[in-house]
Amino acid sequence: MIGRALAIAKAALVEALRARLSPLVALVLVFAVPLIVGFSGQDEATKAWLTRAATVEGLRTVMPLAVIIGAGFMLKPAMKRGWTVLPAARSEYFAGIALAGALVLSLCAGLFALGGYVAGIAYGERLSVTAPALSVTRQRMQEGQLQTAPGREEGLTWADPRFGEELVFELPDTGKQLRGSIEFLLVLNLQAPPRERQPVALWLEGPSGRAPLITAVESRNRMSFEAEVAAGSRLVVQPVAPGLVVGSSIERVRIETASANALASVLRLLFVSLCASLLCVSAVLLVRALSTAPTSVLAGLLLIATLTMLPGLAGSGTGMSRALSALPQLFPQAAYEEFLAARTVPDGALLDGLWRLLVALALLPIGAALFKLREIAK
Amino acid sequence: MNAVEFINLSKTFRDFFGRRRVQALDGLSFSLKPGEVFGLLGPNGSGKSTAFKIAVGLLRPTTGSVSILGHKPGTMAARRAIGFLPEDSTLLPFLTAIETLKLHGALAGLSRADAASKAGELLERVDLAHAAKRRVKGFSKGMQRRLGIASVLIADPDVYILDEPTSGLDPIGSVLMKDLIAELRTSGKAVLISSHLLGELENVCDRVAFLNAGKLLKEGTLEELLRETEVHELRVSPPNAEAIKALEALAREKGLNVISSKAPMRSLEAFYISVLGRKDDK
Repeated sequence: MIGRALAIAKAALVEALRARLSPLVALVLVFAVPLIVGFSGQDEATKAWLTRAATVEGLRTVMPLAVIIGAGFMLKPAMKRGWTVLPAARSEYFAGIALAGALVLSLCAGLFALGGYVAGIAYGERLSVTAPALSVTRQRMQEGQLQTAPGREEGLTWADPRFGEELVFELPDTGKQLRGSIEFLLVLNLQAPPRERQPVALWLEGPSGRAPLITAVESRNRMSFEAEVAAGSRLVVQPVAPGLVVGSSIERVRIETASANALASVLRLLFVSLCASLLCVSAVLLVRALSTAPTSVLAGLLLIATLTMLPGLAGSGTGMSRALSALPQLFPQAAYEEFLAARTVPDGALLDGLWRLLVALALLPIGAALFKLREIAK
Repeated sequence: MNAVEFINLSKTFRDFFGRRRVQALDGLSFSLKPGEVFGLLGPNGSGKSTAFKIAVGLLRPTTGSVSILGHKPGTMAARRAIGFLPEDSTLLPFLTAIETLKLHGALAGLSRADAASKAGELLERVDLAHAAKRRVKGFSKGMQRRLGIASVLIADPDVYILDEPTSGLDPIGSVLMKDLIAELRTSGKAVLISSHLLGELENVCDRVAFLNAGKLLKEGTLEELLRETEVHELRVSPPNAEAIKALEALAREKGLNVISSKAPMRSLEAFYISVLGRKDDK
């Protein structure tokens, strides 16, 4: 059975690679990121960011959509296409086509990622290896007395500007130079509307007192900072918008400890994206086993919508909202966000990818069994 | 044991809501033995292809059953026992002829070396050796048909189901196909054929069945069905006019009615082959 499935996969692979548009598609995939960055990037910083953004969006947005449409048309149940009249079991054809599809997908994704990596070498910058803050403390001055309370080791610690509260992070030792970033969450205190564009001020508290940091706003919820630093210095996060309670955590304060080549991170993103896309392929093939190509594509799009957008849209309320927020995301956003922030992608991405791959593999036998039930009249 | 057995087979196609749309087969029963060539005749839509699709496991019967050497259609044993040539060419367009045969060989469980050597032999046999490394996409319909039959032959199954095997073939290809069918019969294989071209079946079939609207109207050997009991044909050689006149006179004297007496004509197919030769020169 395995031999026959492999023979069918080989034939399907040859058919796909010999199709007229294959060389053109391969060229487009390799040069996509370098060309986008070359034509659209204006300065070095923009080009570096664009390289990462184009690679990430290609892998987590464009690839699954292309994969779903492609997977919808991979199985060819019509007699005239020849596959279902081959002297092999229907399940062998299903497995062979799924394998060939996975190989073509891997090849395409690999070519695209190669382009992203090459663009990274040409236009990008090295990624930073980061470590989290060591601890967090909440503190405030009350009638001339400094009051402190240990923050949470996991989850968010909040500071309310109405009481002059601040968050103080112990930092890992990085020598004389400190570079890092902080991500924070905001909750609107209804007593006053926000007035400041930048709702927090960052300070470096050392033996000689507090000194401001050089900061840059990277996004609505993230700021980067850098400074000369003395041993034992701490990061102070001070909410400055009276209407906004600010929260952050140890994990959300990342201090750069080294820099690294992007290859390992690109490969990790490639792996996790491939696994999530293979899950899409399996789901689409499962539906296609008993339905038409457009129906299976629609089912794949619904899967993406369910496992990508809904968990993000769901709040922390009750019932349906909580159930939606508990759904795992098809593409684990943390890995992509790290890369977008020019940081190395953590090892956890591999485990995320592996889980998705296992689910994809589990769906295949069901699809093969369903495909066996299908009648082929034409 | 019968090689193929259709027992009271019916097939009804229904629409999405389960309403009956077409009764494609209605109580079809017949069988064929190893070493027998059986022809299924009938107009378009008579149910021939539906019967074949059920036999190879592409469709399931509504009632009744089919047995392939004692196996249920669609099972691995039945699949191994059958070589199916569908009506339309169903070859993969971007594979070459030799790759197509190797694929079928691999699916039949042949080793790589066996598949390669058998593929070469078969390409010679169906006169496609010159096109072994050409992609199927560029083949003419006749070439595709010949490659199709070669891909069925490579697995050496015991039962052959050939749907319109001569469709798209030129007269020489058609003769090649009939020769192949005759060889299969000699080697003890069971062959089930359908065709619109009655002359094609007449030359190769041992038995035929007539199908219309899914029902079997008539079935028997060609001898039983086609023998004319009211007339007798006598052929003599060389055509001596005087002797023939004497024979006619003798026949009348014995009370026989001489209906026709003329020099016979060759068939157009035989003449075509005598002009162009048996080998297709492409």
